[in-house]
Amino acid sequence: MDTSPDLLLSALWLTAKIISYGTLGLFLVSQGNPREVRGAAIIFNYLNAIPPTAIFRWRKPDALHKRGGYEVTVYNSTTDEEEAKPAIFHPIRFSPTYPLWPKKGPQPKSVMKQRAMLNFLARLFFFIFFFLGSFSLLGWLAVTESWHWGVALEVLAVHQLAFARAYRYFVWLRGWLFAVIGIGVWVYLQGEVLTTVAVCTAGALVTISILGQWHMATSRRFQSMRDLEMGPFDPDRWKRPW
Amino acid sequence: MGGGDEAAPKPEVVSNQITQGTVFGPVVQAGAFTGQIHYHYGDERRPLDLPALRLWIDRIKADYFAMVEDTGDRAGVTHLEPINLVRAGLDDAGPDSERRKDTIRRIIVVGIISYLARPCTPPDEPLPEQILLDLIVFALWPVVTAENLPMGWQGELAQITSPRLAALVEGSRAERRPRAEAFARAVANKSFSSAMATLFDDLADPHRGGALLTAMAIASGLPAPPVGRREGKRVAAWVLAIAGGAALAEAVGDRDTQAARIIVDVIANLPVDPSNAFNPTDPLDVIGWLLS
Repeated sequence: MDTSPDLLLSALWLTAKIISYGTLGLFLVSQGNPREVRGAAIIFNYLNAIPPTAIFRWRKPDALHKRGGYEVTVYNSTTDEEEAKPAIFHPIRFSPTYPLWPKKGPQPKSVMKQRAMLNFLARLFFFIFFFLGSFSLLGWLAVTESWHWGVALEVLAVHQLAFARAYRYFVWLRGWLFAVIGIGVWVYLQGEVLTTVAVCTAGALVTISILGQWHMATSRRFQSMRDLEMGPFDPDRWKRPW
Repeated sequence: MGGGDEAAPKPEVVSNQITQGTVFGPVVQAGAFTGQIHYHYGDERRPLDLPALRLWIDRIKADYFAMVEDTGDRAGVTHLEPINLVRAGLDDAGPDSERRKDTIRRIIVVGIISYLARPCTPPDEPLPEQILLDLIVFALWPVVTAENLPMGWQGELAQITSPRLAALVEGSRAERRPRAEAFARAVANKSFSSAMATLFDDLADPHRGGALLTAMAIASGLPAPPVGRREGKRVAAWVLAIAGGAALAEAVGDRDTQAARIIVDVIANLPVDPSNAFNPTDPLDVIGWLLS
């Protein structure tokens, strides 16, 4: 094993690049996940079905509603009342399409439909250029360059499947993954057979982590534990220094 | 005494549109605008439909443009562009770029000004209910009667009034031959204080309806309305002052009357500018400001 400081520095630099590029890449690919495209289409259809006299108002997060979202005021001819109710969609603050949604003053259906169409087109753009593009690129690299890229393709596929099913990001939610990548890169740089060992081990650990968190996010048992703040969701456990 | 016929007079058969199911003539209507509401619009005081409004605004515009040219009034020149914009909004054949935006707002502004500025006999009893009802009817009747409106006009109208009022206008437009009296009755049957508050707030904002209202008011020979964000209460007072004048003081002198309640309802819904000293919450405050 080479334990020279130069290799250590190289490993640190490569680890930083993998984490930053990987995070950015997964974020961009997730924006074009088919679930996001489908969601954008559902929002457009929902707005299309709303009566033309409906008015949308942006409501900031408050004590009652933790997420900001739209309130739609619709005239109900049966009761002769104007009914204000939450809209079915909640633009997410860290989404690249968040600035598209107007938040000042009442907005008519036509404006909201126009923004929903832009949102859909943006998602389609992410789907074509980042989602399909990244899978194609990794597949091409796995065939033409090195089969190690196939491990990255597998991690991306598992991550996108988990994202589509659970609608959450899972990468880097566990701090030990940084250590896995760091050590993996250091082992990878040792060369020869250790390169393959490092790629496979790191890939397997990241995959297991994603699958585990996917299970935790969707299983009913964990859901009830989350609601009751028990087990891994006990707030006291988060306060411990370890 | 041969007064049999006199003692038992034959009841007078009234045949008008009230008996036929539509409204005609002065009636007392229960509903949001309870009180002595008159639904009959005489020939000289009738809400203008869009073609008539075009003719009226063409005359106003020609007179004002000639006056500005004669006097060389620099301040007046600034209103020429908004007047042209308003006129283009009424014209079906106008350039697309000028008709595309704010068409409903422009029509409403002209409708309001046509109510306030047209010379005619004032209402017998200038009650605030009557004024507010007439204001809504005169403002929206051109929208009801317009043959062509841009796509999404319902949303634009709901945005500056309320979804309920927009739905009412949409329903009236769907009728084969809409009548102003029937439309007024439909309006009076519902509470539109929130719609009025939103409309006054819009008309006060110079970035929304304020500039158009000011230009049209000055071109029509009316005093300039108050302009500024959150000045909706002043605009409401301005409208009531022009339409009702000092006679309003008597009408809302008693704060327990329906008239006073409607005024309070409308102004209570308007946003308040904390830095502004004019912040009336009582109808008498509004009247005091009007008279002063």
